[in-house]
Amino acid sequence: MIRLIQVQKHYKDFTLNCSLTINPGRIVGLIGPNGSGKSTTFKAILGLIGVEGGAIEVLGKQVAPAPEVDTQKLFEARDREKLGVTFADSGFSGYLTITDVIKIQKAFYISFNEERFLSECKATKLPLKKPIRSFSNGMKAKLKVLAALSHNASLLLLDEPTAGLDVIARDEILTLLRKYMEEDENRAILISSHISGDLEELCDELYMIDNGNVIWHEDTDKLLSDYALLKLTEKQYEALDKTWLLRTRQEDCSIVCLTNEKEFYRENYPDVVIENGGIDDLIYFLVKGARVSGGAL
Amino acid sequence: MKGLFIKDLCLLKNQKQTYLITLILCIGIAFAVTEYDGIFCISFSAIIATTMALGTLSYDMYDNGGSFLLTLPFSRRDYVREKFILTILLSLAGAVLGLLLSLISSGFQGFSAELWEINILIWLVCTVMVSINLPIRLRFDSEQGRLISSAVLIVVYILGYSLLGWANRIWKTRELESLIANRSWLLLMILAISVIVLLSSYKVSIKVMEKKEY
Repeated sequence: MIRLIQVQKHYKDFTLNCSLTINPGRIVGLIGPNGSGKSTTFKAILGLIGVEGGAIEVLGKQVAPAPEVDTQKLFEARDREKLGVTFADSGFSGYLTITDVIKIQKAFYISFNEERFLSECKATKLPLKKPIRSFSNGMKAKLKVLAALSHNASLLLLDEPTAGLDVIARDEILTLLRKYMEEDENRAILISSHISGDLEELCDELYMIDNGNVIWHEDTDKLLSDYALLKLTEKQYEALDKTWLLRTRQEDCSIVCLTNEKEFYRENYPDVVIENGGIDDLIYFLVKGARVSGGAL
Repeated sequence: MKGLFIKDLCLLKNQKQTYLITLILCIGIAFAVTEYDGIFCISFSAIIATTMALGTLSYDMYDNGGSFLLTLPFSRRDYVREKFILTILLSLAGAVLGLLLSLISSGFQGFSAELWEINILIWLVCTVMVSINLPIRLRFDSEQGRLISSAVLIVVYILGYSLLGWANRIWKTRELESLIANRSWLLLMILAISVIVLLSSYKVSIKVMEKKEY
């Protein structure tokens, strides 16, 4: 569905150098600290920014610029009918109403399902006649996702779709996304979020990006089952086999290590305190932690 | 491109009160001024309509909306084309409505071929105004862009109004009847200049839009 090969974009104080692949039927999460390049990656995929190197393939077609590519294989405006997009900080003009959005979507998308969109809006209690700018953050976010889901898109690109929402609104959005994937196994989603719980629940695989580079890629199941934090005394650390340690960090009275082989340490070091790892720990340790000599990553 | 027109018409719907006030003002002036020649009504109506059409660009970019807008299924070229067609058609509609209002207000006393020509001339001035404004507004969507385009708008308005006054003086001077006889050529010349400015602006706008990053 999406293939980024060594995509490069240079800014004054930031360089994106990103490769990733999203296959049909997969929900892929893009994680990383603020300013790491997540939104830039989305914009590159959507052709909103020009790239200086590498190749971007979306739904089997090349996103410009790709001068050597046959024009029939170029991703064109009409191909965007197959995409559903949301941005945290951008959407339909706040001066429009949902009634206006229906008219606009109907004109842009052949497959726009007006009946379903309207019933979803009513079900989520979105006012049809009020300007979008008067909506709460939660209402705006729901509208963005509903609009992205309204035209039978094959691929969703969702940049922070749950930002600033309470737990109930987030759950409603995640339910909508799960339903979307259940309807057709060939669909795919690329999603970024700062709320790790949402991604752990939703995503099949995760890419972590930092300073414009993809520094980690793993299935979510493997992250949840195999990654852990080891809390060690200095003595325990000295005696530890460090082969499966990814990063380490000195804390007040202990050394905390991130591993991707929880069972190995559970079996061989029964005295060591082991806590399950999650996305937040991963981001924190991969960005702030120290590399381990002879470690796994 | 149909979707873009519908979006802009929905956005313009929000400004209907502004335009209604403009029309009421035009009628009021037409009634209040003796020997009213209709020029103010036509130009005011046309320029307000053009400004409103240009304002859809600001609505598009409101709250960083440009990034999302460009993920919808239309090309950047379509966007520029739609903006040109919309602004030019709306300025024409504004000029024609202004003309009709002047005629109605004066009880069709001032109906003349000259008024029609003035109407076309005002529309051409608006077209030049659109041609200068659109690439600037597309290039700068910040406060800077609004300032530059407002300044240009004022300059174009003053120039256009002066040009109209000058043309009006020429056409009303009996001594220059030979020139009056050729005023169609004058109009054609202005039309040709407007078309050249418009086409150049369109090309520049396409380039600006294709290079723009969101």
